[in-house]
Amino acid sequence: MSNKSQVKERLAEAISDGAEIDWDLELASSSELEETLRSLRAIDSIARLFRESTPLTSGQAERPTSSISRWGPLELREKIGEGAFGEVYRAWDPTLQREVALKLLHAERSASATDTARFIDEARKLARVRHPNVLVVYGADQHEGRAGLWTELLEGKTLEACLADDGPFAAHEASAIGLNLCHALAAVHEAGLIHRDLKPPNVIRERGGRIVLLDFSVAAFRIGPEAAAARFSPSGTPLCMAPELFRGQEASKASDVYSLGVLLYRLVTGEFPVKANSIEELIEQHNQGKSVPLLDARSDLPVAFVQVVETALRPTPKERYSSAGEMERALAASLSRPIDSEPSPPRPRWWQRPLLWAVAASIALSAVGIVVVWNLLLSPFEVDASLHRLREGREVRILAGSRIALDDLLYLEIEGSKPMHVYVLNEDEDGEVFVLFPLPASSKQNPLSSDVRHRLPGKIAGIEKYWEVTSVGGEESFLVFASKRPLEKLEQRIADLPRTGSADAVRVGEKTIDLLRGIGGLSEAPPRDGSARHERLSEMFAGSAGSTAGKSGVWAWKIRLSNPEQTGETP
Amino acid sequence: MTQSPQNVETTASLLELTRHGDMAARDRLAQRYLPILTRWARGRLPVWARDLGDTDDVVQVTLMKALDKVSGFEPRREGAFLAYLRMILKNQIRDHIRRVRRKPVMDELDETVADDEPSPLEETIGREVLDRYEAALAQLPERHREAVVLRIELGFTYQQIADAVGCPSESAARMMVTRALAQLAEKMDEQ
Repeated sequence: MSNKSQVKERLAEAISDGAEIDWDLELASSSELEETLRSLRAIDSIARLFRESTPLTSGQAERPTSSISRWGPLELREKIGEGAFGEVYRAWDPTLQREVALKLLHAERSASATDTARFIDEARKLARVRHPNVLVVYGADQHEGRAGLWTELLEGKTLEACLADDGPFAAHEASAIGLNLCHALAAVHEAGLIHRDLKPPNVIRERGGRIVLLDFSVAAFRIGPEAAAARFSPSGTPLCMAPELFRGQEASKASDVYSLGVLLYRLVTGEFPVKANSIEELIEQHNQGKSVPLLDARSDLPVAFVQVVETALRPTPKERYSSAGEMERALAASLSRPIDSEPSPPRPRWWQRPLLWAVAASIALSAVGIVVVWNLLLSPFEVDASLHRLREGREVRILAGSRIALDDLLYLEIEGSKPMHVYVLNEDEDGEVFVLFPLPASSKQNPLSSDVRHRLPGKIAGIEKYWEVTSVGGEESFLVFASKRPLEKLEQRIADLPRTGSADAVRVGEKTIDLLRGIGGLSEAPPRDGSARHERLSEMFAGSAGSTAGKSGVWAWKIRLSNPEQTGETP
Repeated sequence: MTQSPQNVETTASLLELTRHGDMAARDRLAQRYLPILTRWARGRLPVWARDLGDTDDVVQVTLMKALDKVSGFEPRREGAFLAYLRMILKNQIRDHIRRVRRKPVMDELDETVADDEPSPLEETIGREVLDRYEAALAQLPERHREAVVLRIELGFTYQQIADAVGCPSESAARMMVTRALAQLAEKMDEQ
């Protein structure tokens, strides 16, 4: 092979492997190949650009380097995270034909037999924890000298990211998340484990609202003051750690309860109860019992909620809740108590503007476009739903055009022939669309099982919930979608939405509507023209008001109710 | 060589099933390619048209169209199918840019003029070089072209490339990519 060919092949190989190339040096040493080198350099730039393209999932994802493209049976697709313990990849399990998240322990830590054995042993224990609010661990093993743990792959945002993007949570929403985490912790404790690292970056709110506790690889190791000092950061683990851990005491259920208290404190304030810039300062603050009372950090919180958080944060373990279950009970009780000091959150007003309803519906329609096609030839999907009203203790089924009145409580019953994802929408007086279901705290979560009559919005903290009519005037509508597949765009928007403080609905702001409206400009989505959109909607409703989704795979139902200004007897 | 259980569901077999109307296979094909193609498309769309929703939609529409036409496609290799997908996605993106661009007058006047605002790819290497790259790519033998696209643009591992273009081994795939890249650079010089 000629020298020129060798240079070309060497560089082509480096480009293909993603290796760094000093192009200036190469050009200087092989000037006779200038043209080809420039072309190769262009190819290298193209390769780099594609490598750096942002993937679908959020976060700093990157493709694995060519040296790590496979780990045991799993194909690594891209790096989606990195931490002190190692790296997290999106990987493909070819045997079970599904994507997974793979956490690989750092090579140097994998080299330590003790670390590896502990990692795998703890991971195996964690695989026993089966709970909807706990990350599902599929397995743990060691390949090519690296210990790894693979789990379900989640799409969503950490609570820390939600906080950063949208600001502090409403107390009611933090409580709902707290309830989920109490359940998760109870399951972890029941398996004989202590989480040890409960904090907002370790909890993900998935698209669709599921709350998932994760980062067990850290849980697999004890975090002593030394380790904590080594990675002290103003938003890190130590600020969430119970004070006794700095005195050398063992982590316990009570220290997990403390961490959950810190997490809730942070969700509603964006702050930590004990502030410090170094580990020494933190220990000193704990020793002096210095912390900022929750009510001083945010005065509009319901007293009951404040009491729960403050109890979890007591310096002495014995004074805290003795278990996650006990804390759950207290949180649930705080939710059922009247919200005495929290200002009324904005509640959805009922629908008044047909045009905006069309927009709302088109949002959902464009979001379902892909689903419609995927399901084209699948078997029929039958759905039956009914809307009910509870007034003065009497429950009645209501039909289209029925009158409802202020303080009426409404609920939906729905049953599908296949497991389904259900979405219930409504619009307020300002023309904003509200998502009434799914709700993160509800006992009912998508997908809803088939052949069961579900009652929505479901129970929260064990208490059956309703949608409450809080305003009067004009007409009101419910728009219900049931789909065999998640309506991903809608779910993503729900997950990304700013919180309003409303416990009953998630508000879809104008900005979101605009964003989603833009999708309508694509050829396969409903056309931008308003009349065409109406036509399409009416077609859809004409065909679906009965009960079957037919070919589309998405069932839609619109029910209009009248909500007159005057009060009095209704038929 | 016996087929290992991991390889039971190759793209070729999924394509074959999809051709015969197996909707579950079609779903799995879509799931397999959607993230890959979305990532690819993000480098090809100008920033203003690169909203997450936009990219998703262009890719989904393309994939749907491709899968609709799959009955007319001979599923020789996964690489061939992906090269085909890449081609129609490229066309879709061009159409999409024309449709949503802010200066709609231009494309009425001249069909060959691309959009005014460059995609990240054009920004990085320039439109002229990108055109040469595309032209040279089109001149490569089919399997070489597939190998380049899979490795450079879609980030496949060598083992995946070996499976997709029908190479006997990972190292053979690596060699094929290397040779194809050297060849590609030469062809670019000739443009």
